[in-house]
Amino acid sequence: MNIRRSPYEIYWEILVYCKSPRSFTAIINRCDLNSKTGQEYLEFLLSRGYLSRTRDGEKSTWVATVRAAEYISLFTEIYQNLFDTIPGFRL
Amino acid sequence: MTEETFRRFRNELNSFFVLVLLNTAFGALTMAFGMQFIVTSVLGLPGGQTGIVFRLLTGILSLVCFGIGFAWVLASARILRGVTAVRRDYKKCTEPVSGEILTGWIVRIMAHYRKNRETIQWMTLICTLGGCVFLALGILNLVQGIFALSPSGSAWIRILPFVAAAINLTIGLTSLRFSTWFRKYSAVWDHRMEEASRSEDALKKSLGIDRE
Repeated sequence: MNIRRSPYEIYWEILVYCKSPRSFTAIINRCDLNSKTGQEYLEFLLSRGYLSRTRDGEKSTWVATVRAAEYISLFTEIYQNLFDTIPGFRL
Repeated sequence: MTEETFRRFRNELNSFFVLVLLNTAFGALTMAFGMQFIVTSVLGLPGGQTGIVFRLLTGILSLVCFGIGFAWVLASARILRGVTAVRRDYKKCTEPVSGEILTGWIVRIMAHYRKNRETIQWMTLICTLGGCVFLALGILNLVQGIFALSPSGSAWIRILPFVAAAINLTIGLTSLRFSTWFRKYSAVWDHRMEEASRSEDALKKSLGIDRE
């Protein structure tokens, strides 16, 4: 699926998906990212404190932090407002 | 708030789905009529009352109609694919839609619009062009019909150009209406895109998210 999303939309998708711990492969598959860009997005969210990484031997899992909830709710509000405040299309 | 937003989102998506579906049907009709009129123009109407210039002119216009119809169907199918995927998801959803699920659909439709913005604009142009060509074809049919109004020949042969004119004028006017609907849809989504990018700036600033 070739879709165009903004980085903020991708951050939101990752954070919502990582409400429960997820592996790197699961995240990039679900969010339709390649491993290079997926790694960049995860590292960025990790550096900002929105994601935390847990290592269990060879395996790593990623989970959204409490701080992420703030971003998720703000993003959700902004995007839903696009339908609430702008008159929609009707035939 | 989510329920109300979902209702708006669903109504809008359904409206757009119907528009694209009807548009696909009209594209197919354009192709079919284009082909049919090519045959009737090249072979001439039974009895051959009309001149070669008219037949040649309607033949060329019919060929243009066929080409436009083909491009029309292809573009509609491309747009329909993304809309159908989201519609399928919300039809499957039996529980009340959560804010996150709804936002996910909004993000997908937004990405779909970004990806297909040019196609939708192209569709507006095709509908306008198609509408004009069909209107021209309809007017030519009317002229053909008026010139073919001789007392000789059966009533059916005299009526035939008027029937063709009615079909062409109807398709032409509907296509022009479709183009205004596509323009309206584009305007709504362009407005949303502007709002979203303004809001994303606010999001970036308030949460300190700034990807270098």
